[in-house]
Amino acid sequence: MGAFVVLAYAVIVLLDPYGLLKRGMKRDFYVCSALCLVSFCIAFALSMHWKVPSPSPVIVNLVSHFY
Amino acid sequence: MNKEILPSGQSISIAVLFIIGSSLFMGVTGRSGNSAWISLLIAMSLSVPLMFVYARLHVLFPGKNLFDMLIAMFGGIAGRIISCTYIWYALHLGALVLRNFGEFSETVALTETPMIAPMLCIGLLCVWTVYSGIEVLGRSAKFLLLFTIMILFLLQILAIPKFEYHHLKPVLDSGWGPILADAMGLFTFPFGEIVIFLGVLRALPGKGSAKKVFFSGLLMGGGVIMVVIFRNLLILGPDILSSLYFPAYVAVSRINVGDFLTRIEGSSAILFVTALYIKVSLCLYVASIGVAKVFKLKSYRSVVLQLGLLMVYLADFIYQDIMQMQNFAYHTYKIYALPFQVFFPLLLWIVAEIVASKGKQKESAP
Repeated sequence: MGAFVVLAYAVIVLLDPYGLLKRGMKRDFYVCSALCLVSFCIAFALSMHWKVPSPSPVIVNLVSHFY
Repeated sequence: MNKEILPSGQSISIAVLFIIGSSLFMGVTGRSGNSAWISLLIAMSLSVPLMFVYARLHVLFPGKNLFDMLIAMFGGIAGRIISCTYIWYALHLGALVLRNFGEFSETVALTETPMIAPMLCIGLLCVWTVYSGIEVLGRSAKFLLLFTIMILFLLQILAIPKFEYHHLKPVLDSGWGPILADAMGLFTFPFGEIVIFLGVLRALPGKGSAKKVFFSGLLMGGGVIMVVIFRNLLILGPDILSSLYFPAYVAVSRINVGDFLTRIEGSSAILFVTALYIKVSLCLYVASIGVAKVFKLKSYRSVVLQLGLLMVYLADFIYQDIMQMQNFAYHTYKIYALPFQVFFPLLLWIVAEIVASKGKQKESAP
């Protein structure tokens, strides 16, 4: 599954961030690449069944702290 | 890039489908039992001043969206920080709605399929729609709203023989406390969520058209939710209703016309998918617009795919199980959403009114 994610992201990188670079949209390319890196890391972690920390407990704690 | 224009009819359709989105399926079960409809009426009344504030923002900032307003009023740094919180809220809300659909698929429809598969399908469809532009979303919403109302009407007619009117009595059985608590929950979920629509105000045509959109959305969306509440309540009764995760699906599954027209709950699942498609697409659009504004990008389309994928992944790991989802939606969310839905827009409105009145004073001074 991890290999499939790497392959899928190779295609995504070619289509999305690299496409922006070819069109000369440098700022868009940097932001898109950063987001792509984050989404790849999460996708890879999910595919390997690693535990990704959820923001929900933090929000619940925060809310219960105030209310 | 040409400016995108969203005609009033299409924006009203988006607002209505956005409001009924998950409520159509998650229901509004709480502690108020058979008086849930009173909670809904109170929540709708509470939402009226909020809609006035949102509509007033469109008058004060014509041709601007939420992120333009925040940066114009609070400056580059503070405006961008608050914009980032709204980007998070839009992404989070989209992920929550996707997760509702994922839990529904895993619990009821596609029990053997991993939850991420249906969520990814809907997520990619939303990415495609948002990439095509808000006008495509508007046209889809207009068609899908007609479809939704037709199916709802049909289901309502077919459900009439199953109605047991004694479920409505005794009114106010649980007292005013639970009703007010549920009204507070309904105020934030779903009515207050329309704050996301401030992100598309730039696409609205006229200066005062936002008022029409917000109030039509509130009335029509509230009306549809009211119809669904009554149908679920009259078929299932308050006790069964409060014990179900997806009451609308179960209520429709009870419809049986002469042992011939049965098991038509699939049609109510279609309604859920259409409404959540519009809701997730709007959340994704607003998050993309926000990122493009904060980072001064040339086009919001540059980040749509990545944000869409992040939304789907977030939906996958945001809750451990359906009980955590239910607990968050009905207990935590009503407090968590308040800053985004009430505090920041109120602050923005007050600051904008002060700035506008100062501007008028300067103009009138000799």
